[in-house]
Amino acid sequence: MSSRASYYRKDERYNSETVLLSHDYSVPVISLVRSVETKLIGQGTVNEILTVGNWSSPLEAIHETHRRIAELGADNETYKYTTEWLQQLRKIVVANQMWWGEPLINLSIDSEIVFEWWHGTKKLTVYILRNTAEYIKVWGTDIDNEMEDGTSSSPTELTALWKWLVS
Amino acid sequence: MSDVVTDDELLYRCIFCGLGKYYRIGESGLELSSQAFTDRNQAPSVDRANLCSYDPQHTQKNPDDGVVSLITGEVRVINVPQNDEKGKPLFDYKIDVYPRPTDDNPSHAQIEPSPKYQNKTTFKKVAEKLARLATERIKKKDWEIRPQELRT
Repeated sequence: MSSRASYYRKDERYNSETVLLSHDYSVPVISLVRSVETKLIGQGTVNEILTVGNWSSPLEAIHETHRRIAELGADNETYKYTTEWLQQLRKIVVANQMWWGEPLINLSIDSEIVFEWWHGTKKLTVYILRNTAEYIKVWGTDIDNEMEDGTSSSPTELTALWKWLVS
Repeated sequence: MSDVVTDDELLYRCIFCGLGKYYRIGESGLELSSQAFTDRNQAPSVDRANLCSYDPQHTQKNPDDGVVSLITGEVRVINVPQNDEKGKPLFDYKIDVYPRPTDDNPSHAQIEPSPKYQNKTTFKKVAEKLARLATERIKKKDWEIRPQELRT
């Protein structure tokens, strides 16, 4: 069986999962999974993915991310904004066909929800409290010259932030 | 007891267990969270190895916890600028390791700035740097004690 044939077989299964999960997730989240699969195939890594396991893994990871955010116990405003912020980021990633990985998630000592992503030699940490998302970019070990902080909430800012991480 | 931490002293830091919380194995290997180095008082606690018989178990809070190490001299060279609102440098913080022995733990020390941080973001950057230093050391020397999930 060719990789392409395998992909379509898996895609049929994916569609059934879409129906199954449609009660839990909005369309953009499901679209993200479809996009990730497509991107991976475009990069010629489909065989690796197929041998690793089944197509439900990305959805399981998204499940885990949402479960982790919910269990942190952040205040309602922070929780609501965090889920909206992450949803917006996922949409941007899909729209731009960029690399994606689920973040490491924690609650800071100041009750911020903290997302951390690593990509190559770069790291992005985002602190969300109430309706504000602050980031720290890290691309080296010199705090003065290789770290940068700021806020990111608009689609333009989020796009620039993610493009920096994956570039 | 020595009241000065020397540059070559090894410092232990407890990393609470829980894969997917403070650490995980990612695409490029170990990913250690900056949140493993935060502290409510912006002064992360460490233990001085030479005052706890170089036994990292001394630093564990729980047998499942991991322990990483830092070199005092590498912590001291962290350069943290304080900028004004326009980004113009005002001064550099001096990051140091101070002995803070307690009745229960004579090896206790803290990573503190001088002067005190003027905003939280600066400390967050220091936490990033500490996580980076610990990660580099793990890659070279391994964990002092691996967290339970990473033990073979």
